[in-house]
Amino acid sequence: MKPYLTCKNISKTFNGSPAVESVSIDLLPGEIMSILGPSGCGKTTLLRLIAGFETLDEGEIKIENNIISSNQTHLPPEKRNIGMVFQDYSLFPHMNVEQNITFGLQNYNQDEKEFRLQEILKLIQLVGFEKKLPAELSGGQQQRIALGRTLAPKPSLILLDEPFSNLDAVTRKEVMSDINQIILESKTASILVTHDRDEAFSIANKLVVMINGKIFQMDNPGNIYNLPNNIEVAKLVADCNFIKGSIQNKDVVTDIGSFRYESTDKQISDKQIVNTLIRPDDFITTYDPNGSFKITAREFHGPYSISTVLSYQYGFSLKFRDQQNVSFPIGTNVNLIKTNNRKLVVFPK
Amino acid sequence: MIKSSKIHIPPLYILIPTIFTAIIMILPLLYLITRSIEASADTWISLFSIRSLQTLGRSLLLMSTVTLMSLIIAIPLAWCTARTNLPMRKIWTILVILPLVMPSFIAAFLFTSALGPKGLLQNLLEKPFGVKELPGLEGLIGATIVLALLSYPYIFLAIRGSINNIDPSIEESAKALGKNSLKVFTTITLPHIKPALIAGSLFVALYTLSDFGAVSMMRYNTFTWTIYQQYGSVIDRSTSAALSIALVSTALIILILEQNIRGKEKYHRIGSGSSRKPKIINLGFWKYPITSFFVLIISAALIIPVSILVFWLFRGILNGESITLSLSTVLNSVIVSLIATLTTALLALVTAVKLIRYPSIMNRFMEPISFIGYALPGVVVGIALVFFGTRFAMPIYQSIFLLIIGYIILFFPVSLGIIRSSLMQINPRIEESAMSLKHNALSVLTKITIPLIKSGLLMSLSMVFLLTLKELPATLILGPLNFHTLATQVWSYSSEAYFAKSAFPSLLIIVLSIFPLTTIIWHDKRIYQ
Repeated sequence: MKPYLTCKNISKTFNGSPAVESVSIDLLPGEIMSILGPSGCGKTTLLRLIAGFETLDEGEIKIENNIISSNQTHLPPEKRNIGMVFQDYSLFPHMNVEQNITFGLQNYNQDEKEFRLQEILKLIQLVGFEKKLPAELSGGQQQRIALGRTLAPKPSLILLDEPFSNLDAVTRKEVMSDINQIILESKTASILVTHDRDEAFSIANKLVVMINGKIFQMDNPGNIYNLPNNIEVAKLVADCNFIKGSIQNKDVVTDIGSFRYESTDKQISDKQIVNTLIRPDDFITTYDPNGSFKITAREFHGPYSISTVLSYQYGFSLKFRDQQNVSFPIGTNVNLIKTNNRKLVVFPK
Repeated sequence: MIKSSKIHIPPLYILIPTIFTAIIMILPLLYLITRSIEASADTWISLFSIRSLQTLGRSLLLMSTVTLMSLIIAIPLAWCTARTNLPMRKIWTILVILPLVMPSFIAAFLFTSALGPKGLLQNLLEKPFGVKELPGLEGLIGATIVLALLSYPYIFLAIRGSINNIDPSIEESAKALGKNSLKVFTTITLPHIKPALIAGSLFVALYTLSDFGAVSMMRYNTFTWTIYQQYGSVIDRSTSAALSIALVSTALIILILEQNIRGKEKYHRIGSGSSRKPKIINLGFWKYPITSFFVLIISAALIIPVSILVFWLFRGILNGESITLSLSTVLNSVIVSLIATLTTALLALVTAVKLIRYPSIMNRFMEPISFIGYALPGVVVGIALVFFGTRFAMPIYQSIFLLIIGYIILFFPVSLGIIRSSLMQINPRIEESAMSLKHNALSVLTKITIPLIKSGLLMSLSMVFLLTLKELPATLILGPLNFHTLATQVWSYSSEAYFAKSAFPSLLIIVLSIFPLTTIIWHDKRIYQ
């Protein structure tokens, strides 16, 4: 399948500091992409470049092989057929729901407008809210209307800039699954930008990890989770511990044992010292009065708890998820047992 | 963090009016500079003569006394209406702004003729008390009283919002540290409202410096009055140009000084403020003297002047004086003011959009240019445009067109200030949403931006209408032959002491000003808080 959107080596600098550096991404028709990155990594700028709100310095952006942005051409945003949903909803405060949703339907006649309005209201589950003003609605409702407004003119691509970050924890979960549902049903290609890994994972077919203006990894979410390219990506996509290890043959030898390893780095050689990624669910703790580890702290997270485990011998601490219903008191001596046969990921030090 | 969108080059309907505005805004300065270059050595010597220095001294003295007196009036009014249990404080808040409708030359004329040596007051006092003559109110004292009574509302408006914004906990902690109310006011409240006080004072200072009506009625020889006399009497106009340069330089120095002070004081500003309402102070017995003060100010600034006008009008009618006012005068005033108001707002809107939404190197020049207007008095703008008209634009010389350009130069900064601050409150993401919904820049401007800054636009329209209706010196200088407005009519009748005849147009100005003022009060959040 030919990509719908292609960004090739695009760069953008603000007052001398690069915001986006030589970024290349492809998006297939109907594909849903998440861009995950810490705040200030340039992911919003990337989105604004695609939408046409910023001009780029280098590279080119193409839609179905037509250049829409390069350092010579710039198609204005209103001619790109790209919809955008903003973090702060940005509904038109002086217009009611109906006027907001039909704002982008200037080429529709009255009947078509009414028909599309009802379609959208059904899709966002706000039938009957036509005459309400944005100020009368909750944050979650406002964000659904913002999405409905964007979907109404049937854009070929939707960009979502941190669409859930202004919502409180409870509404966020609800609105997130609603909006994922709506986007899936609309079958529109989408790019979601977020700093929250749960949001990024929840919908994407393709995940892009962006740090300091550069793309660190681009793959399906499972692959990135299981085999991150480097430590920064690993930290972004999951909670993790790192301990020192050395490569011996097909194993990595660490202070807590020897394990099979894997890495995206083909250069790793025998005897090399590496950083070993240990996930909180890679090991469980077992009671052992003579164990070489001691539980020193516990964080309660509701459905599970995380225990901090101190190694007597080496002095480092690791965090592990407690087994269901088994929480040893703080101060208990324990041992660690690997629970799965997943290979440990290592990174060159 | 809201970043402004930096997309493309502004469309022509933004670019052309902005450039047009820049050009007309620098016209007066260009004239003054070329004129002074042409001026003979004698003119320059005369500029540094004792007489000129005295004029400068008088101007600065009047500026200081008016600003000081306005502060003395405005601070207690603002504080009492915002923070105490003064009876009827909502009503007082509106009443104390009303003197804005009174043009300075009318107020000054009323003061000199009613309170003068043989005026209305003397008449009233003669029978019961045998007072034959009152001391004159002309000169510095008269001009100070009149101008302060008319300009304190500007300071009042500037500081009221900022008084309401103080975080009450700061004042409370000062109290908890054992400071009494007065100490809290001077050590906490005053420093907090300082930026607003400075901004308001600057406006009053520049207003005083550029005032023509009051000083000429009071025969107090400041720059504006001297320039006008020079302009009228001497063939060589370079003297008035040189004096104008001195006046504009003074104003610019004050403006730059203010910018520097304000720049350093920025940390005093508190963002959106707290949601908690500040504590209302119980005035107790003090409400009687304070209410009396309020009554005194309103009476002096508004009630007594309006009453005298009404009295003169009826006395004139009863005495069978002809007080007819031609309809064309009224129409001239209204139509010219309306055209000037709409044009100014349109140019200010476009310039504000250019400055905020289309950052570029050009904006660095636009900022000071739009700002310079504050330092240009009506007399100077008038003279500068006459020169421009006679030399380069004969077809529009002596036409309403040139007069309207004069009004635009004078009031563009005010309009830009209001429109710009309301434009800055719009989240640029809202406009971008509209763009991504396939609306072009013009459609976004008309369907999104303009409706969202409606309040600011109305405020700006009202303010400029109010100011244009009252404008005198530029109208006198630039108005075509036999073109009369209400203001020039009052001016010519009052200089010939036709009391009844001048009362009618005066009252009309005041009545016509009530509409825009109501709009200002309605839309100004600083008043309704």
